Amino acid sequence: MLRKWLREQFNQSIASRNKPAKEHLLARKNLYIFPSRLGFCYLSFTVLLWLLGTNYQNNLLLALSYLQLSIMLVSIFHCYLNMHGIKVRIENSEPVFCGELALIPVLFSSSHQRGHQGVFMSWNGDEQIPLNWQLQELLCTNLALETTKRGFLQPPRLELRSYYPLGLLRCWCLLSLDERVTVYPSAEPGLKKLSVAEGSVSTAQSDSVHNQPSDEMELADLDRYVAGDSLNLIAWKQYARRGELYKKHYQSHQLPSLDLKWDDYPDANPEQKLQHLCFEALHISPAQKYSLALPTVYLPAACGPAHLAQVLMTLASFDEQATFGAGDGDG
Amino acid sequence: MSKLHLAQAMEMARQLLEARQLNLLAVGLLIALLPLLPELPMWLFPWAAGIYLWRLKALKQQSAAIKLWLKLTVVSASLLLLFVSSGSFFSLQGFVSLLVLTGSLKLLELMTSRDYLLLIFLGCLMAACQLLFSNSLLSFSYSLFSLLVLHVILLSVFSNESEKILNAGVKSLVKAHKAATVKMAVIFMQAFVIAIALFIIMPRIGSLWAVPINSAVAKTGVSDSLRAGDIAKLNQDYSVAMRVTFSSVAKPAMSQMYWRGLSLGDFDGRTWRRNKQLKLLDTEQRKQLQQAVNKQVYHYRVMQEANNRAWLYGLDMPLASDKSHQQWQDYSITRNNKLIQRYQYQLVSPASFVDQHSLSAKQFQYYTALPGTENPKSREFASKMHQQLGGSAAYIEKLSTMFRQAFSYTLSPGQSQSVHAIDDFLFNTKLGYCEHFASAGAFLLRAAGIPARIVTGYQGGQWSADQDYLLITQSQAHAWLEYWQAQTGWVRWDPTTFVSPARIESGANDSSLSVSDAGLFSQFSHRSWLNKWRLNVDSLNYQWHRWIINYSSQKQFSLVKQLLGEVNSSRIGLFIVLVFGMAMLPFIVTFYHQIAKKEHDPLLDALKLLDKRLVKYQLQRIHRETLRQFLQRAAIKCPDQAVYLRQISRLSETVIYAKSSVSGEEVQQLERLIRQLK
Repeated sequence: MLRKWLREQFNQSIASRNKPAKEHLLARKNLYIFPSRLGFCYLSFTVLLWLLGTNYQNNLLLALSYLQLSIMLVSIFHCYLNMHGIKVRIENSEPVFCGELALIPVLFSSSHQRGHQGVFMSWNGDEQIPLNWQLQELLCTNLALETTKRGFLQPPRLELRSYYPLGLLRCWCLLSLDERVTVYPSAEPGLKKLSVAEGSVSTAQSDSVHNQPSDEMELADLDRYVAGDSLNLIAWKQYARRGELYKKHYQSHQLPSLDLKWDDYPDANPEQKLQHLCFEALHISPAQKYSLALPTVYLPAACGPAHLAQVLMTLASFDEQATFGAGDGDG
Repeated sequence: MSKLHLAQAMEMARQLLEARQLNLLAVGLLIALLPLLPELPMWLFPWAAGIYLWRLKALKQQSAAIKLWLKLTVVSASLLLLFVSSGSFFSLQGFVSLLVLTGSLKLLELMTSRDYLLLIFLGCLMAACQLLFSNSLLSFSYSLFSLLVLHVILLSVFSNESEKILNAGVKSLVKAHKAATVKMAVIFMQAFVIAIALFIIMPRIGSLWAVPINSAVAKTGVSDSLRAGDIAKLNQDYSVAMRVTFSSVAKPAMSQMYWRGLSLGDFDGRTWRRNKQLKLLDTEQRKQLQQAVNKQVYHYRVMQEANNRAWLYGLDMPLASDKSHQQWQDYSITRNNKLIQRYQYQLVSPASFVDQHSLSAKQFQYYTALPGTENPKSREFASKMHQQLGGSAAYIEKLSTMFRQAFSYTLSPGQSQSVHAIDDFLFNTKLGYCEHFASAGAFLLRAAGIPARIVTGYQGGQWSADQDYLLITQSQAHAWLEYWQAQTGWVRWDPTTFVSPARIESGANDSSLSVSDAGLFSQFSHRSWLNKWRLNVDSLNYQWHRWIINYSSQKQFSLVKQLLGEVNSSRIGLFIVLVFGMAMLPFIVTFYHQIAKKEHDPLLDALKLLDKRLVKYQLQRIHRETLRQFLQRAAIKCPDQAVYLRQISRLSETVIYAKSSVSGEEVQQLERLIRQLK
């Protein structure tokens, strides 16, 4: 218990000293060395040898015990220099949906020719993954993190450790990596409340979107309605023919677009609402314009992958309590 | 939790537990174990080998775990066996046997990496334990070697190579071990330097508690009783008895090198023994000896081999000054404990000493006593002759002539069955070695009423190749006698000299007389190259023992003082730091040199230099300012440097943007330009 507590205290003090960064170079400032349990075992063997030597007044046994002690001292250097010069770089990671594995690419490179032996990395200190440096300068690994919560996932501190050369000493570092993974809400279909005020148009439209988002049908819609309809493709064709529709398309965009609304799911809790909205956003056809209305954020209707990303980002970063604007959403 | 932690950290090590790794460990342990074999009970080694094979079989059959009850049976059986065979665990042999047994039984339990590592440590301890039994240079080198092997195994567990070892053929296995060995050798070398410093510096503390000693040291050399005719053939034993270094310039001639051990004054008619009622040297005797010492003196240091006896040897007559020694009335010196390992001591002896001590009536009686009625012929001969010659001096002279003329020296005189052994020797065989001559001589003197005692010790010696020390072997063991006269006190008298002067002149080894008798052995030492080699090896051994084995706290103090000028903690600390730095320096330098080589960019260096130069003009680069803008700004601020600055600007752009086609020359030119800035 004490050991664990001490270790935690120490790790916290390390954390307060190490600022998060995209890139870390392992050197004196961030490397720590302490005898491992095996090292203490070795030391006690050395003491036993020393006691034998002293009690028998045997200089050779004493010499051997000093030799063992010196081996331990020397291996401090070897242990440190083995870890020294490793460069850790974290790359930008792709956003993921909650429940998926977040993959964070981490690049390890070495500034030594001699390479590094027996280095392990771990997140949270639970799983030790060996870094195998043989014959390569650059080592790229994807760190897989389980996502359990929507929002931004800060990767836990990366721990690199090595027991090289003799296992007597543990050389380790705790690196705070400046990277956050965007975790979208998981997409879950939900029961939508039939909106009374909006009328059947939007419902029907959303239905049609869900069922058959085919081009023919939308083309037919265009014929039925007048030029300047919400469907983008047709608007472009109209523009090609007449030229005047271009403006009209912009002026009248609010009319036929879909609205993804917070209040659509009155029975769900906030997180579920976000999940349903996410599901809906994902299943809207790429050409369909839609807006997003959350209690504190409103995204005007638009379409395309950029818009989708913005919507998802807004869903991911939504904070019920706070009254803050939507995230910059450049993803 | 932390337990789990460690286990995870050594995951790689855990994977290794397959037959090949077990074999590797077994080899390491075997190497460490070999020198201990003579000390172990006979059954232990085959037993341990059997356990290993059993474990190996279980491992190959993938049934890693051996049943608990089987294990328990084996453990209790082996403990019982050990207890029965060695009697107790509280002896040195018992301790070592227990250690080896623990190691072999641990093999059965070998499941996790931690057991594996623990076994390596046990191996290290075994490798060290052989030094409890032998402290020669060879044993030490061997234990260093086994330590190195075990550490290589340890290292291979923790390096990347372990993966290679796991899935590789024999060839790459050897290669991987070679890399580990090289690495370990580097660590060993560095550690060795530091260890030497620690060895020199670290204070010696005496025994913290009593420990079982090695009771198996054989009694060798000169014994404390003497009985002529007991031994049929004296074996020439060339093992070292002691080594002597003289610190005084004056050294006695070889014929005067009588290394006096004990005097045997107690005679029961057949056997000479040490006087049990002997008192310590009294103050008057000590004063006399001290006065003689003040005239001319030999200073010397004796390093005596372990012989399981308590008395020490010195040139007659030695003066003991060490508090832990006792000197007796007969000038013999003893020690409290028997010598179970090499022992070094310092003595002084006067070059000439006349013992003016007078004998009391009781002592006179004691030293002339001839109890019993054995050897009637000799008794009769003695009294008749003494009367005839009318004086002790003439009588002794007569005896000398008799020995010279009628007796010969041999190492194999044959056993005398007779109770009248001395009669037999004097009047029949007239053949013998020093013991016969000494005992017969002493008998004849006592029979004539002259106080006499036998003295045992060594005679002669052999100078080492560099004349540094005198080597005395067991073959130089000798017996002579001392008689007492009112004017001269105790006088040394060696009847063997009269028989075989050559033997005494040059020491027993080279005696021309002993060649025929001792046969092969002495011929052996006649071969000059072999003898030379033997002496060289011994010389090395001697220095080893002198400086390493017998490095005591007194020696330590004087050496450290010589080394550091003064003995205090700050100097000692500085010394250790210095040595540590020295050991690590080559390694660190090459290491950082490598980094520097890799990260050194001449262009970057040049630009850094530029920044440094321009700081003098209060010019600093602003964020997002290009080099050209910066240099333009600089040119405006200091117009006198403008020419250079423009050139630098042009050249640096060439270097930066046309990097692929740029040679090192241009960078150098750039640097030169920058240096021209004032």
